[in-house]
Amino acid sequence: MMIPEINNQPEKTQINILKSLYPFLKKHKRLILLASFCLLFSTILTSIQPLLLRSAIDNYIVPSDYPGLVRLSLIFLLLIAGSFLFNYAGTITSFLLAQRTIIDLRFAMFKKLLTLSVAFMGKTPLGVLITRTTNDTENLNELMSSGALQLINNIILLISTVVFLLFLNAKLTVVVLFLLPVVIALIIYFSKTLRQAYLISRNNLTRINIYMQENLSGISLIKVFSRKELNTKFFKQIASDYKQSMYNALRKDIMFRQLINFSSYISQIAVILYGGYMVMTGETTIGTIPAFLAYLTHFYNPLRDLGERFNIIQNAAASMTKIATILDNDDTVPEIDQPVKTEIQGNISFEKVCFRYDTQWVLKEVSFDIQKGEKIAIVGPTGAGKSTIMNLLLRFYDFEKGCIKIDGVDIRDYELKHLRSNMAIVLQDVFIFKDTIRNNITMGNKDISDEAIIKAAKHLNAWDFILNQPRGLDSELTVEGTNLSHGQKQLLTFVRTLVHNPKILLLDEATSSVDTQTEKLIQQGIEKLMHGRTSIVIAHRLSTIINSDRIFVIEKGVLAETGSHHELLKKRGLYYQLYSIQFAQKIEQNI
Amino acid sequence: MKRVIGYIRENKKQYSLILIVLLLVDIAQLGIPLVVRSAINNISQIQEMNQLVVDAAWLLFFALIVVSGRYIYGAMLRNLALSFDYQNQTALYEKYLQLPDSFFHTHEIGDLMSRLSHDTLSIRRFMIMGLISAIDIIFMGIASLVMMIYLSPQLSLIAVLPLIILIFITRYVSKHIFGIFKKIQQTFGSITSSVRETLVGMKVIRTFTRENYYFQRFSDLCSSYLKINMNLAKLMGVFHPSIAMLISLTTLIVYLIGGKLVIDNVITLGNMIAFSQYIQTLSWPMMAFGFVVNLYQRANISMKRIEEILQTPSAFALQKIKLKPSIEVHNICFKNLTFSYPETQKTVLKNISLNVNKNEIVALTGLTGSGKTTLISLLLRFWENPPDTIYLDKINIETIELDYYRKFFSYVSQDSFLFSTTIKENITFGKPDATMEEILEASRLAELHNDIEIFDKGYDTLIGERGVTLSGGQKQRLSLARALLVKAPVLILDDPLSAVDPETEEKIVANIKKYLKENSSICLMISHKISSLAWADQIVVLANGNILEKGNHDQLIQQDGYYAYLYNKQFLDGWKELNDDS
Ligand SMILES: Nc1ncnc2c1ncn2[C@@H]1O[C@H](COP(=O)(O)OP(=O)(O)OP(=O)(O)O)[C@@H](O)[C@H]1O
Ligand SMILES: Nc1ncnc2c1ncn2[C@@H]1O[C@H](COP(=O)(O)OP(=O)(O)OP(=O)(O)O)[C@@H](O)[C@H]1O
Ligand SMILES: [Mg+2]
Ligand SMILES: [Mg+2]
Repeated sequence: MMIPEINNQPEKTQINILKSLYPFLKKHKRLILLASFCLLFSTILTSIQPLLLRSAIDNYIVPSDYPGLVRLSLIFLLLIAGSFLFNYAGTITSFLLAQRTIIDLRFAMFKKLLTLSVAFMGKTPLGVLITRTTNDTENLNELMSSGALQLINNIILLISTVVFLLFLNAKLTVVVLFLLPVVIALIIYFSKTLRQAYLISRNNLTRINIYMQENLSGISLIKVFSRKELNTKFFKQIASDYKQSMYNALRKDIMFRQLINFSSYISQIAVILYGGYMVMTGETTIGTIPAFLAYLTHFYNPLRDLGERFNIIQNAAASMTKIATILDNDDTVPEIDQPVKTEIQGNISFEKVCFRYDTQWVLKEVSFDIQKGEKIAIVGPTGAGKSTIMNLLLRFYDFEKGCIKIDGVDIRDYELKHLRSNMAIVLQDVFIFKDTIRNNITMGNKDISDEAIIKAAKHLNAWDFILNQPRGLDSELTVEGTNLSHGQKQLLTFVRTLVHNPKILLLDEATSSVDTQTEKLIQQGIEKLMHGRTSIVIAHRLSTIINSDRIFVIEKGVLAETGSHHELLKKRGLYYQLYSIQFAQKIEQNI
Repeated sequence: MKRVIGYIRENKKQYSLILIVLLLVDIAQLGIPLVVRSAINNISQIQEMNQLVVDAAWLLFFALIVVSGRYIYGAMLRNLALSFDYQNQTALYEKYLQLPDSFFHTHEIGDLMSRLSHDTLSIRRFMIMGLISAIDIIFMGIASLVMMIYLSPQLSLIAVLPLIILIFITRYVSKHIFGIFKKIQQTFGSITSSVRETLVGMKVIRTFTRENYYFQRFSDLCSSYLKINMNLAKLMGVFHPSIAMLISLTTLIVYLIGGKLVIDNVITLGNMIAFSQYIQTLSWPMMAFGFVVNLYQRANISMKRIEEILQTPSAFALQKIKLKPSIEVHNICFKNLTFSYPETQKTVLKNISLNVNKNEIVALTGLTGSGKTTLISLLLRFWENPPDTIYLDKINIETIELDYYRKFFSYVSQDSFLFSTTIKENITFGKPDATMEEILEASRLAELHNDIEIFDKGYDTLIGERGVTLSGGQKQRLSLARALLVKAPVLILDDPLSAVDPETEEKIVANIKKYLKENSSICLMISHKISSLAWADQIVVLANGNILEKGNHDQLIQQDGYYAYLYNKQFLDGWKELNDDS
């Protein structure tokens, strides 16, 4: 197993975080307004407080007017209460805004994942997709709740301060602001490098997730194949890459903040030197200097705060860029504008279907017709393209040439959901959810009654083992069904398929892990349950398909032979060869 | 938080250095207002430019100390925090590899991942910002308090009142916040798990068009995540503003009472103003206090979640004797093995006794769920076997060191799990430095080579998540090649040919026979197919956890039991028909 690698090049299309977030924010315009309003008011009410205090000294304490002081205190109290309320409301609303936005974003991500093509999902490591939906959205959450709005507040404060400064003394203001271009340059420079630094550390976090995901999924193999040491070494390498890149980002971040800090001090020095000079030459009064210094903090505090948020913003921007690449991905199964939703009977036809996953043709001009109600078997060597036929029927992939029709309609013209819900498949790989047995069978479909489950389970010889579980249908299965035997899992997926009552039944090696006795019983069960419906069965154990109406022999992507079992045996072709290998020769060997 | 304290202790020197720099910075910061005051005095009284330049130079000096000091301790702190992260992550990883299989049946992988990638984050935050703020609070807080008491003891007494309220509020908040954070981290873990499960089971979900249901499950989790976060918001929404309010309130009291004192000529106006300035200085530590409480609780929860894993006993933690005896592998023996899975009632294996000698091939068969996989999982020590039941070379396996023991085995699992890397890397999984010849040999033995040759990139083909770009049979053969490459003395095959066509199966069986002869191994193979069973030295039929039949092909045919039934169904019927037809 390799160490996962991710390209650290910055994405070509620089994604504007606000633009990407806009669709999620625009739903909450009112909330945004309310939150900004509250926060702004609480800032205003807080900043009025010093004025009142000055008036307390000048107007009441110095002239010894105690009742006046008490009156003023009452006003002050009101002010405090007001700012508390606005502060509270502002915090809550901005939190709510953040949560709502992020939950929408998560939903959008999840929905996207549910529609992205199987080809894309196969190519993208699970760890990547998991990180995008969880850690990356969480980063945005932080941006929003720890005050994207305070940012606006800060900017307002910044601008008003400059106005005040200009009002106080224009000349001095110019001297103070001579550093502004430097500060802006700093912001631009660091914004770029920091974004890149955070992107790399995000990527390294993703690598950790990819690696963990796989290691934990295949953990028993790591144990048996004595890979503990090597894999630990690899993991340490990734973790240390992450550490290094994160340190790089954080170090630059703090450097940026201190540089801003430093320019604030330089401005103070400038005020003292130049201001002092102006006072000495009589150009201005001494009172201007303390006032200027006071306003300077008003100027640099929000800037510094901007720096604080910078970290979060850059981090979030890096995440948003990653999220957007998934949200903007349109590698989904295409549907036509007015899809067909007519009832499906179960006639299937392949017309010179060609298909390839990459460069090699996997299916080459495959043509056949299946009538409604026919029982078809597909056999052939491994890797011949049998499962691929199922993949095409279910539109996990779309064929390149030729045409696949169901009831005479191109399958691409059907509504995807409609098409799939009329077919049901037992996939070659079983998958069990960490859920109850019942939910694993119904897949959460409340319309499927327990009677239907029991009936199907009994026919498929699965009812006994279900009853044997501690709580019957309500028994909880563990992660990926690890507390069942493999054959039991396969039986369960079989039941799952049949209770969905499909028009077309697809079985891809559905009984490969089941013993012969159970298999025989299952076959009888299917006969009863699926009577009169189309079924396509892939099987290597030829004994299971002898009773099919027709057998298709696929070899190297070509439909080599078709016919009933007896017809094919008579032909003495590939089927005969497969069949006799399975039976005759060994008999000779062993008897 | 024991680990945190331990870590700080370990890095005492660095943390002391940080503390010193921090104090230096704080002192420099306290010095700055003094310089400014002197500068203003200069301007207003002495009016000498030279003096002013000296003041400016001092200011620059202090500023440089502050800025560079902050950078230095900031960078050090971050480095230390990230190293702690790294320690936690690797500790978790190594622990995961040692935990028993049962652990992974009950813990979802998504949640385990989030402990490593998400929980470490809140710990890091505390290590960077929490620690510093805590020290700052203490330092600045004490300094301001001392100055306040010095200025006016009476006023201090009153001004401290709201602080007491703060303590109560903090108490209340931290009590509730703990539970909230715990739920937040847990729910985040569940969200991660839900996403992962949905992604792994995506094909199933799509074929049954149950996207809505799984979206619903996900959205329920997200909604409860939102709800808990809003509970947090409500708490924090009160907490932070009330601290701000308390500070304002204190100022108000100082003005109201202090104003009275000034009017009554008890204290001077200057003292009162200075006093209120110190309250402002105190306000930062008070604000930070809430922040630190928040950070601390979050880190505390995350640390607990990590420690919970680290404290889970490893597999075979109770094993006292850990020997590395020399083993030739000439015998494997099960003695009266009875087993049920932990925390279940059902006995899965009942009184199994089985003896396997060198160069022997044992085939296991039996009904679905009869305990075949369980038997070999016990041999591979995925589960703890009952005492004195399994022996390797007459040595009780419980006395053998686990990693050493497993080196004698090679294994094809029933689900043929593959890693999302190249074919080559998958084959060499058990022996990363294998030569190309070895790879080709293993691949040919598994009848995989011809398939791979067709691929554009051959052995360097990437096979996608869990091998999705391979056909079922190719996956199985790849996992077989992986097992054959290591040439371990004991080969364990759990239904390795279930997805392979008869023709290929026949070839592989012949190859395996040859391989076993050349490498003089013991082989345990599970299968439902007679074609894979018939040639074994011992065929064992399991039923319901019991050994139903045992013997070679001929013996079992004569017994006319389950094996004979299999034989009839799978062979004779077909054979007869073949003869009838031709
Ligand atoms: N998602 C995919 N991407 C690329 N190639 C694929 C993909 N799925 C299958 N293939 C390739 O296409 C060929 C046919 O695969 P398919 O799964 O249809 O075989 P199969 O007949 O079902 O074989 P088996 O009996 O082993 O399951 C194989 O060579 C396989 O490697
Ligand atoms: N982790 C587990 N916890 C609890 N019960 C389990 C666990 N694993 C398996 N079982 C149960 O133990 C019994 C034996 O399972 P096992 O996997 O050994 O069967 P098997 O003989 O390998 O069957 P198959 O041929 O289907 O693979 C089954 O009834 C199964 O439900
Ligand atoms: Mg297949
Ligand atoms: Mg099994």
